[in-house]
Amino acid sequence: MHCIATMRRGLVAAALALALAPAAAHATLKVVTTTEDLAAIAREVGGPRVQVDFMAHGYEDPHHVDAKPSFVLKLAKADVFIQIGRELEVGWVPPLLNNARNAKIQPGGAGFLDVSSGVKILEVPTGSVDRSMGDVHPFGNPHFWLSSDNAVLMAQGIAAKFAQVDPAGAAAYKAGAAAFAQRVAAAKVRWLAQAKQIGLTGANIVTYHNSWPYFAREFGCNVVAYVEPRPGIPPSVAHTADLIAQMKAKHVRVLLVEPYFDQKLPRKIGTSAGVPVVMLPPSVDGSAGMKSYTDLVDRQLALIAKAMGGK
Amino acid sequence: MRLIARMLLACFLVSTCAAAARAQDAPVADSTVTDTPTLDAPVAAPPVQGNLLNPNTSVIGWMQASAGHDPHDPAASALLKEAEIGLQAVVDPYTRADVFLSFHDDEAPAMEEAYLTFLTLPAGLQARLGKFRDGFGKFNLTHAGETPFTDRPLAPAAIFGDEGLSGTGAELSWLVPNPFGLYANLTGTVQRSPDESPSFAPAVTKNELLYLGRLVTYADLSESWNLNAGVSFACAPANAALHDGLVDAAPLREHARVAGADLTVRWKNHRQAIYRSLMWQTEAYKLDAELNGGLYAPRRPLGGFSYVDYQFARRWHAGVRGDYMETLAGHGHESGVLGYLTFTPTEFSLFSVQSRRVQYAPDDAAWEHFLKITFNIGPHGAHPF
Repeated sequence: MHCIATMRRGLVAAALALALAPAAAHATLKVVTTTEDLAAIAREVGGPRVQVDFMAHGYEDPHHVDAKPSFVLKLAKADVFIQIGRELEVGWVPPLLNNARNAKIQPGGAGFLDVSSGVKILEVPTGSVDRSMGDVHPFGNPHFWLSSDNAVLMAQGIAAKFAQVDPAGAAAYKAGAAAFAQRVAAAKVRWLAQAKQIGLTGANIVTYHNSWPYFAREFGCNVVAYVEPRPGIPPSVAHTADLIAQMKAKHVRVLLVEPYFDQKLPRKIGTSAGVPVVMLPPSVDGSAGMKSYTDLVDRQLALIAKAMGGK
Repeated sequence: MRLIARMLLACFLVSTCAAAARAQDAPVADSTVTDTPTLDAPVAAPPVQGNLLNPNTSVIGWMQASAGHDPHDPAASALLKEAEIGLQAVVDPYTRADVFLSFHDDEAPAMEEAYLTFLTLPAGLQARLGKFRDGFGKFNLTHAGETPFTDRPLAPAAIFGDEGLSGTGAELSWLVPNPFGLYANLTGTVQRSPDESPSFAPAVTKNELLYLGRLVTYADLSESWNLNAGVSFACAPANAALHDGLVDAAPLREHARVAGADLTVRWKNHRQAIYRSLMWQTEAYKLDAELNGGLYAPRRPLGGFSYVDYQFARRWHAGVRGDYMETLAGHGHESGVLGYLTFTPTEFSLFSVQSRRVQYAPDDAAWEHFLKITFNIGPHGAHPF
């Protein structure tokens, strides 16, 4: 009986100690992002004051990431969690947040950031939306980091969130976001020039999935068709034949395919239509040499230039 | 056992009060809407999640047709096996609620689950209160319509019943810190003893409770391979029906105990995640409902199942499952094999043809064939893992 009473007192004391223990002070903010694009921008904004980890690699389809328990461990220790939003990660992030046991990063919490709230969104559906349209994103196209203006807005949003959680670093985060904006602005001058020079500006293009409207707007090209008849629906024989005819009729210059989609069918389509096909990563670290946001766009334009023959 | 229940309740109450106090002091993030001033720029719409304070409502429908004959477990030629309505929402900054109602062709509607989850407890803790499926093994957590199969494997069906193990009570789980950096989750559950279970007696008094414990770990073996392993234990008053049909009946324990182990191995090339994947899942169970030192040889029936699911194309899966269960009456064992081919036109519908052979006794076997169709409407749910 004495043993049981002692054990009971010990357990209650341990529970009290656990519950009331103050959080340990951290020298750096622990940041977890969904994608590598967010991680890259967060590192440029936060510098040495942040320790950034991510969950989805740049070569993965961000719609279809496994909600692995190992991600729960990262989220449990995070001071800040950053997601793209607009339901890009709806298939895997909610159960991770629900199991993270971290009040700070729950939606509405001090450490939660959905960057889509501060950027310019294209293709917000009007009228009724249902799945006869495929696996649509009902709150607008979420692939918005592919606009450099949005990347700058994302950096500003991230800096504001870091400053909210770590007020002592506010000036550093603001300076980091400003430096990022300067680098992107300088790079954008050469990107636009390069896009014109290689013939991307004003060109008709085809993409596998509707991931590229922001990129198309950025560089003044026109997405005239998709390999998928509707988002998430693989192409049928009839749609493929129709697509090839469209590509010829509209003088499509290039077909863009993300690395996580099947490459065989797009290459057959490209061969039939006489159009070069580019496996084009939409995210940082989607392939070699894409470690930062500016690396990403530099590499994307280089791949397109090579496919289009620099014309 | 009552001591453990009181300790769990004490830990939960202290932690909840502290979390509420802490949450009240925590700064709440501002919500902002950015309007784009230029005329030709797209408008930044506010991030609208769901139906603005209404719960997310979803329906999973499961229809089934069958051919062949199994006199021990006959299936109807065509059946609405289940239409499950899910209502899920955040309640407040501290909790979320999940409610699942199920409707069947030939049964009364049922409350599958209705529970509150406490999301902001400190020290790696999380709690659930209400009616919920128990975390005994991995398979028991999956709602019937969402498993790859048209049936439940022999072992969990024999031990926990066709609906699996669930009940009303409280669960506390803890992310166990460890020097290996592994995910390790320890769960303790106290519930009213289940109303319908082959192994456990329905509660008549307030003291007749089910106690359940589970430890599950997870490890990424490489970028493509990962492994889940768990052990589970459940204890509740023994169902007197365990005595039925026993030729040399030994006195039952006051409590029936079930021990389990589960292992899941997965492979997926993340660069082509939607096209290829492999999963191998195995669960084993042992039921102990005999008194120690009885006059008769104790019966501790052992059972389990193992299945492999291979996705060989974007919309195609094939799988095979083997079952084994020593009979609770102590006469031999039952075994089975099930194979399936599944086509998923999209994430939101599924068509599966399945064949199952069950060997009940050396000269008693049954073949049945099934067509399973499921659909899912409502907000985009999480992909299963």
